[in-house]
Formats: sequence, structure tokens, C-alpha cells
Amino acid sequence: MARNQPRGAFTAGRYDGGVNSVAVVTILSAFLASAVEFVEAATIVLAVGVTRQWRSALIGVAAAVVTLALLIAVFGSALALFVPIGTLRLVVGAFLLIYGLQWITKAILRAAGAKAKHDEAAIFAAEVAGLDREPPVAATGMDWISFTVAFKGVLLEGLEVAFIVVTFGASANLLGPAVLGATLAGLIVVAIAVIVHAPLARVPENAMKFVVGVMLTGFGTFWSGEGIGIHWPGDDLAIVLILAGYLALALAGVWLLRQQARRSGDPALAVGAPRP
Amino acid sequence: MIRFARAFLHFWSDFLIGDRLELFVGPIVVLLAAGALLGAGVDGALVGILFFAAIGLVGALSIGLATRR
Repeated sequence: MARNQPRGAFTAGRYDGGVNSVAVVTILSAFLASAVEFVEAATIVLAVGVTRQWRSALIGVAAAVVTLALLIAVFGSALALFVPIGTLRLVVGAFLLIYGLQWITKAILRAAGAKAKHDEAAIFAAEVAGLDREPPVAATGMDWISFTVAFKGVLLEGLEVAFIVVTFGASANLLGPAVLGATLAGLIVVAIAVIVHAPLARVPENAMKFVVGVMLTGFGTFWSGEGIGIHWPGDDLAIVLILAGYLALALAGVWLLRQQARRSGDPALAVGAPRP
Repeated sequence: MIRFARAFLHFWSDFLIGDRLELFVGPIVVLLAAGALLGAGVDGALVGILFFAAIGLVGALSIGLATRR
């Protein structure tokens, strides 16, 4: 960190550990992205626990969490330590850009009613129906179906969290804030799932994916741009402008899609009703 | 081993590309074009603005394609 830089600033592409707007945005991005994925994982674990065996399902969850923590620690540290920051930002930024665009375009289509919204209650019912067709739970010992389904569900959903945490962590030495955001999201979702003991169908997943999509696309644009040598006007302040620009474009996209639907007389798009 | 490699590749292609190829190819093409402009000596700030606009266009194109599918 340069001596004349305030604590919390990006310096030579690295975050110095203080609290600044980029760290806050990183915590928020990791929190929202992780919360969405944890809600989806909680639905799977809940379905397994309710229909089969809680003990084996929870062992599966623990095994997946340990695997994810190892992946984050190994890849997050290795990328930050061994890959030059310019290359890292280009590659990681490009991945974030691709991933963020997928999230935001899906969220725009869902917000405009052109794509069915995520329905945790329906996913829960489908999981339960699938598990009911499996052989019955053994009277004693481990139920490997419960373990496998819970492990796979948490690992696959968690990989998206790990991807976001590692990419943010590696690009700007923001592993700490990113892990903090993801951990907070995990604790809150688990606490609510334990209290509610039902699929978390009322979590505004689409709105959260909308915000995260804007953030991932924004950071991906900034970092991949820096990676190829773009000097953003206003330096780090450009992130805020890029995020605001993408948010405006995304909202305009939703509005345009709804207008287009009204003109064409498509009721699903016009009223924002879900469409498969 | 081959099955594992195939499953591994399938997982990552599904993870990064999914059913929206344009959202994978588009940003890479835009990055290459932006790199070429910088290499040709175009002002970095201008390239940044064009880069942002081009990414917005990729997103709009993908949404346009999705609504027609």
C-alpha cells in the first residue's frame, strides 16, 4: 500500500484490507449471490431430510461444506499468489463478465415475465417426488441416498458461491470480504430454514439475482478491461459508474420488454406473469 | 478416465456456456476487439466507453434471441 493512500484503497491492483466502497460492494455481491444459492441448496437438503434421513443428509452437507472451503482456500490463495495480477484480472474478469451477463439477462427476462421465475415450493415438491421413488431408508446406519443427494446439491450450488468468492478474492485480494459475505448469507439462510422448516419460497430470488448480475457484470467489465490495458476514466470510481450504467440498461431492458409485450398483445409479458 | 474427463468438460461447459452461446462468445469477441483498438493506439478511455457499450449490446442481443426462441 502506498503511504499516501487512504486505508481501504486499491493500490497497484490490490486491496489493502481497509473498509471502502469496493469492499462493501464485494461483501454485498458475495452475500446476495451466496444467499440465492444457499436457498436453492436448503430446498434440496430439506427435501432429503423430510423424506429420508436427517443425519445422513446433514453429514452430506458437512462433507460438501468442507470440500468447498478447501477449494476456496486452495484456489483463492494459489491464484492470488502465483498468477500475475494483470493476467488474473483479464481471465477472472472475463469469467465474471460471462457469468454476470448470464445472471442479468435471465433476471431481466424473468422480471419482464418472459421466463418462469424460480419457484422453491415447486422444486421442493419435485425433489420429494423423486426421493419417494428411491428404495426405503435402512433401519440402521448411513443412508447413502440422503448423503449423496445432500452432498451433490450443496456442492453444486456451493460451487457457484466458491466461483464468485474465489474470483473476487483473487482479482483484488478481497478474499476476506468475499468469504465474510458468503458466510453471513449461509448463516442467515440456515437459521431461517431451521426456523421456518419449509422451502424458502418467499425469498425474492429474482430481485437478488438481478442485483448480483449487475454487480458481476460491472466488476467483470472493470477488471477484464484493466486486464487488456484500458485506463478507466476516474480509476476505481469508474466501477460505480459502470454499475450504475448496467443497472440503468437492465431496468430499461425490463421496461422495453414489457412495452413490446403490451404492443404485441402477449398477456404473459404484459402483466409480468411467469411463462415456462 | 475418459468418462471423468467428459463429465468434467460437460460440467464446465454447462456452468459457463449453458444454452446461451452468445453470452460466452460475445464478451470474448468484445475483449479481443477492445484489445485490438488499444493496440492500434486508440485512447484508453474511449475504448473503455466502447467496451461498456458493446457488452450492453451483447446482453441486448441475447435477450432479443431469447424472446424469439
